[in-house]
Amino acid sequence: MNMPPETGVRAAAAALVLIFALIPTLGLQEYWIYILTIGFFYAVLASSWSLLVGYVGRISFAHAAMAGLGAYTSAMASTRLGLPLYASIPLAALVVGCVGLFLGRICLKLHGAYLGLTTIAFSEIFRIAVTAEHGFTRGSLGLQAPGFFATNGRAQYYYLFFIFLLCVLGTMWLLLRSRIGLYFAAIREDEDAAASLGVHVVRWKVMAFAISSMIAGLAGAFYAHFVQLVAPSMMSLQEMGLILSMAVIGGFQNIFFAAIGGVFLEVLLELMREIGGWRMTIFGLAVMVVLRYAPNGLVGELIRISYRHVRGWVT
Amino acid sequence: MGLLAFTEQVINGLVIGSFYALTALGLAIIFGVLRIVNFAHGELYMLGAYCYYVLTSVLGIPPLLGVPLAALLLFISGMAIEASIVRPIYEGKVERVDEYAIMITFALAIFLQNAALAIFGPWTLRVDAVFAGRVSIGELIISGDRLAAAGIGVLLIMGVLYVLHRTWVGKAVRAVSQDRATAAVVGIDVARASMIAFGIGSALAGAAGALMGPVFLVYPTMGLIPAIKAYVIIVLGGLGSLWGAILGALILGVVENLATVLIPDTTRALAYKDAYGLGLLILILLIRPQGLFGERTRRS
Amino acid sequence: MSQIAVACVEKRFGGLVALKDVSFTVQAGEMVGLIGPNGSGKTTLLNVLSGFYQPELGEVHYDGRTVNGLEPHQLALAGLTRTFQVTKIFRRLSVLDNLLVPGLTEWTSSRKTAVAEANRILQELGLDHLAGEMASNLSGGQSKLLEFGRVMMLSPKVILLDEPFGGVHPTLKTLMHEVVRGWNAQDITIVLISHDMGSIFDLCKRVLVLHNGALIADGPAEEVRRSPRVVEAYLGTKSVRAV
Repeated sequence: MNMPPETGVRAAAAALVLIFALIPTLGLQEYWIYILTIGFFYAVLASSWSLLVGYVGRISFAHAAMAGLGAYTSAMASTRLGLPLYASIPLAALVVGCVGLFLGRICLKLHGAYLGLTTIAFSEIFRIAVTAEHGFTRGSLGLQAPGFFATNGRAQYYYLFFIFLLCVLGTMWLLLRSRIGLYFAAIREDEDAAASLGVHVVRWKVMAFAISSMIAGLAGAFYAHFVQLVAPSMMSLQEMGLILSMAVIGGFQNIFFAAIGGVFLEVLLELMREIGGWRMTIFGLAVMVVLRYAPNGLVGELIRISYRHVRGWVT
Repeated sequence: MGLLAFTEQVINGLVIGSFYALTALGLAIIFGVLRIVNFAHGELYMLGAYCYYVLTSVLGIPPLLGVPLAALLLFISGMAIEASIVRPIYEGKVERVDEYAIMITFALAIFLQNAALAIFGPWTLRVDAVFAGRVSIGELIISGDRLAAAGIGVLLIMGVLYVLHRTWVGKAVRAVSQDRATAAVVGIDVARASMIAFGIGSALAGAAGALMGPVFLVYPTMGLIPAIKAYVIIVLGGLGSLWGAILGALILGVVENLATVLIPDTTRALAYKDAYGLGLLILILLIRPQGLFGERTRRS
Repeated sequence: MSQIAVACVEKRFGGLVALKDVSFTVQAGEMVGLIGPNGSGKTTLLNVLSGFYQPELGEVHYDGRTVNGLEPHQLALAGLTRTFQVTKIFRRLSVLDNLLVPGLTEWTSSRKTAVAEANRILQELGLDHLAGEMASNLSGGQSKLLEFGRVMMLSPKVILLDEPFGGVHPTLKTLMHEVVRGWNAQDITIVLISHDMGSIFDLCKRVLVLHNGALIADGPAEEVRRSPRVVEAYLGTKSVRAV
């Protein structure tokens, strides 16, 4: 192949977007359109998680909880406060963004495993609280939420989530290409050096957490008005494990790889429906293998194999 | 609340605390020697319980043998885990060491939990107790299986501490926990010591699971809460400090039991029961991350 | 008025007193050496000056104002920069990106200017052929040069150098001397920590000596060199050979 890597990848990306845009017109079963829509939801979660982990180097296990918080906030705001969706969803994003800001501020001095433990603790506390306060949230029974559209047309939701995913990816990409992306990378590589060179480490670490959480909360809010039922299981560590699997297997060092991982694994999850509980077992195993032998994720490795001299642009 | 009831609660707390100590000790050893937080520790505990279940309820082995056998199986599994996914860290085969350790043990947890779910189903299982019946000490009544389990637990802890402090293998393991490079220079097989340490840590978790199974029932997600508590304990006691872990475990056991009983709104109190430990964990990590006995590490 | 003024600074770590009653001033444009046996507190002093540590007692003044409590990035943006004893380059970024980080920390700077400046500096340091290379692929000496390049991007007024010549090839060391002299010629204040006595006495007219956290000498290089107190502090270490 004589094309430089960038052109080849851009062409592939454009083709991918085109294919996904045309899928509903190809006469696929409605059910699969529904699954792909859910895949787009997970793609947003996986890529926003990879923003925090791959680009800033902070591992949070509270991501699923953030999505859940967004879902519950929007659901409650639209049902109990009667807010229209174009108000309740941004509200949810704002609320979760603030929670992320708060959590990020608290966890500033924590690193590695300590940060992981603290985020697990917060995630579980949120889930327990949501379940216990069933006066507000209807606990494990689940909270109902209004849908986006008057009718439950699968194609409508498909395009809504597809455009949502593209917007999220586009925004994150612009952010990462800007100097803020450089700050994130510098913080990931060496915080002290970054500080000694003028990077406001505290501000950007907290902002990274807030932005990543806000996107998760936004995705959760969208999800709430898609499936129209929100349950605490959305905030479980099992869900977190799924998001992690998607990001790692796709490639957590690149938001696009992680997004592809999200769609891919959701489809796989459905294809393997018959083997039930073994699905997550296999995913867990796959994550371990990928982490050990293909840290760039499967998508990353695929591209690496196609172009042997990929350099620089991957990270 | 009467003195008798209070004492009963405290003793119950201490009994539970000794189980926590068993799990926490395992985690402390793994952290001390390998310097990684094992996010799959709860699942090793769960694995121990299921091993005990298979040995006693399926294969019909007497419970008293079931516990040490389960611990042995976990010891071997722990070594296998260390050799396959943890060792690469020290052989320079992994780029981002911290991230890798966290994510791969988390993935291991997902794998083990879902494997148990797939094989045994989500239902809670009953397993045979080591000793059934109740024990009366004066006017106090304590369930026999809990007391027996606590007794075995204490014996195991003492056994492990003995091995660590009096045998050559134990000293080698402790040497590695203090300074890997120097231990290697002095001729200790660091790789093997690490493997043994992970094995011991896993065995302790497995023993705790086997002992707790009869008390609290066996189900795939049974490991999450004990794991969180183990984290709380070793952070409270100070990462790397074994005595801190033991002390912290007993404190947590008593505090939890008293808190549940003393708070008036019982349904709420029970629902939030596990949140107390979580809140404590957050508090410690933020205020005094080196715990009660740990060393503070300096940055820069 | 002095550019840097340190007044009665004390720094403790638990029971250990790392710096005790340290006071001195540095004028703009000076090149000062900071020496002392291992553990004497040189790096600690550097960390206090650059905002990484806050002193328990005493004050640090920069450009006439007290800077106790300021964060490292604030000092960096005000022109007070430093390098690290063990190089802290951004390993998984390219050499060029390593330079772009400081080039873009000033919010109003433009990327175009920063890239141009970065390339210019890389050329000056002889690293321009490595611009696209990942920083982890650099040799030890090249990494030290990269750290030099990074602080240069900040258009600094002060550069604190922590053992820049450690384990560096003699040819490279000569180049680094030239670069440092070039900085000083542009009126950049330099504080140089080094165990390499040759470099210290080659570059610095004035030398400060720390011993067990206290400043035991502060004066012209030649005087310090012959001071019996300083020789005694170093007695037993191989550095005595240079004196």
